[in-house]
Amino acid sequence: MDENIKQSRRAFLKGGLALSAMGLAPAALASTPDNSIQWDETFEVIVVGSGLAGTCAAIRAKENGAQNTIIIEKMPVLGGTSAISGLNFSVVNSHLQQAQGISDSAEQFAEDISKAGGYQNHRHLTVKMAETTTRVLPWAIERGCRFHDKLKSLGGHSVPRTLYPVNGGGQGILRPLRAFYTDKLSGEIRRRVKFDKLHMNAQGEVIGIQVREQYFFDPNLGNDDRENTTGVVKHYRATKGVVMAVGGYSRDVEFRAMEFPNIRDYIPTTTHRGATAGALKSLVAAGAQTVHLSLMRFAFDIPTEDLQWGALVDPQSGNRFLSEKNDRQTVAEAICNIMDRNGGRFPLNIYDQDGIDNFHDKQRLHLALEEGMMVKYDSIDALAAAEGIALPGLKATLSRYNDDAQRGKDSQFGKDMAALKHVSVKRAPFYAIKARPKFNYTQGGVLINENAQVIARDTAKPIKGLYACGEATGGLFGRIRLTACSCPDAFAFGVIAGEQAAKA
Amino acid sequence: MKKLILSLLALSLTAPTLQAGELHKVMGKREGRTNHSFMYEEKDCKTCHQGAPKGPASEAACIECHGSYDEVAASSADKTPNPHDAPHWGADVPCTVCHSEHQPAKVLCNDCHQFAFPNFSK
Repeated sequence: MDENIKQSRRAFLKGGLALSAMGLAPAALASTPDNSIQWDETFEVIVVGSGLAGTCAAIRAKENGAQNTIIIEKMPVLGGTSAISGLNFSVVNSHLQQAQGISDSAEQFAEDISKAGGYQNHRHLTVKMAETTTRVLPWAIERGCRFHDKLKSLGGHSVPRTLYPVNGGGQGILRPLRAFYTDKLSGEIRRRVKFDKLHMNAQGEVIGIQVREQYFFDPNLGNDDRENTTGVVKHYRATKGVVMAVGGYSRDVEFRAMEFPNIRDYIPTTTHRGATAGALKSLVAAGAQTVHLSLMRFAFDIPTEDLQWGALVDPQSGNRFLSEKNDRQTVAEAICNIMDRNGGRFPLNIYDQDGIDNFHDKQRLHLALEEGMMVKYDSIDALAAAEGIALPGLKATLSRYNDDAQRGKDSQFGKDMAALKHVSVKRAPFYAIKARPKFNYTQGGVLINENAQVIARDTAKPIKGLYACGEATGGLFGRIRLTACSCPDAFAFGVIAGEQAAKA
Repeated sequence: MKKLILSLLALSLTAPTLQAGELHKVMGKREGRTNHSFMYEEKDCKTCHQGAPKGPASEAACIECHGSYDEVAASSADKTPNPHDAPHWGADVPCTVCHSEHQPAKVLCNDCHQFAFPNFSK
């Protein structure tokens, strides 16, 4: 007998007994769904998404005995946002920390994350991630990941603990892991296979997924999840578990506009094209609990710390509108507000040579100049003309700004210019870069436990057969993610999800 | 098919830096690339639309005529950056991610970067 028919039959009998005993049947039992599904294929573990979390989950599932594991990816390109990320990897008690005599702990790392996130995190998840990084780093290196022999000391981290991959995250981490999975473990990855929904049995357990093969993602659609009808429907059975490693939803302009009304469609994003909310919606439809959906994180083309060395002006008026020495969220939100008022024009960061000389991240600076995001000008007049800034307003702004710089105190917004070495915007040449707040990460997602199991909204208990990891989950970071922590999260909970699914 | 491949091969021998063609009207309102004109002249949709004429084309046809991803990446190895071998993915990006036959095309790299690819036909 088909397993689903058997389960439905058992539920029916149980419901019948309950009815006779109590004289009333719960609605859920009274309307037992018909779950007779014609499976096209059967796997032990199905991993949805080919980014870092999904790749780790698939490797660990196979390494823990689930030989019939598959990764499906809706996009033609593998790796999701992980492939184009720096993937700076913060690790507790790494070989580099030990070599340098740096004392660290999972609790200390978790405290740094909690502090950055306004203590709005599910701390047990944070600690679990932090402690898992210790064993994941040697595991990753053994499987081909390559890191520089130095630790980065980054803002918000109480000690140096961040490794960074050789040649970036795609080349230093993700491609070696993928090669390990496909070549050493003979793992399969299917592209252009879109996850549409979860299949659940009468007990609310996940038993498989519905997908579309030969699916062609269309970046021009307003909502690809809903409007794209390409592909052939298939049903994949999962005997052990489904791991949702589907990433965030930063690029879903429609969804994010509902969550963040002031984030207009012209606000760019750093994620890959396929970072939509469709999979999240399917998880919600299956009864998953969500957390922190309405939290966003922004990044700029240059580091936030280097905004302070210049003047940030609205091109429409030439005026400044806040202290440039502010956290990224405050600056980004102010920019979104200004753009709402100026017809969607990006403000510009304006520097002179003194400001540029003080940049702390020279690598990002040179990249910005090289790629033409930042442009050099001989005069303020030339800069204003080329960038479309109102020149009279700009001149008045810089005149006041330079006077304030000399005195050491920003008379408009209180920026401590004495601490900034009285750097002004006076000495040619001048530089301009559009201040584009890029929607960079979504703290929110589905709630999981320490075993990467997805928690059900109605019961607050794990949904059997359903796991999630990486940016698809929420709660670990609190209000805003500490820098260099999405990689350890993807690594840690990707590994955990794969291990737990294989054990099921 | 063999005739098409041979004629394209001859074409590519005379033009070693063959680049994607510009969009122009080919059949009614439909636009296509100039370097694929010979296929439109023969009304041969199946060369690219191997599954069904109204379904999307896959990369199998591109590879058949232009070579494998590795071969295409090698042919542009002198470019900086090499558009066919990015560090993020290696030589593993399907052709239609950037190259579009019937609509304006858009370079994937420039979702984030601002590279100038003068030979890329939009």
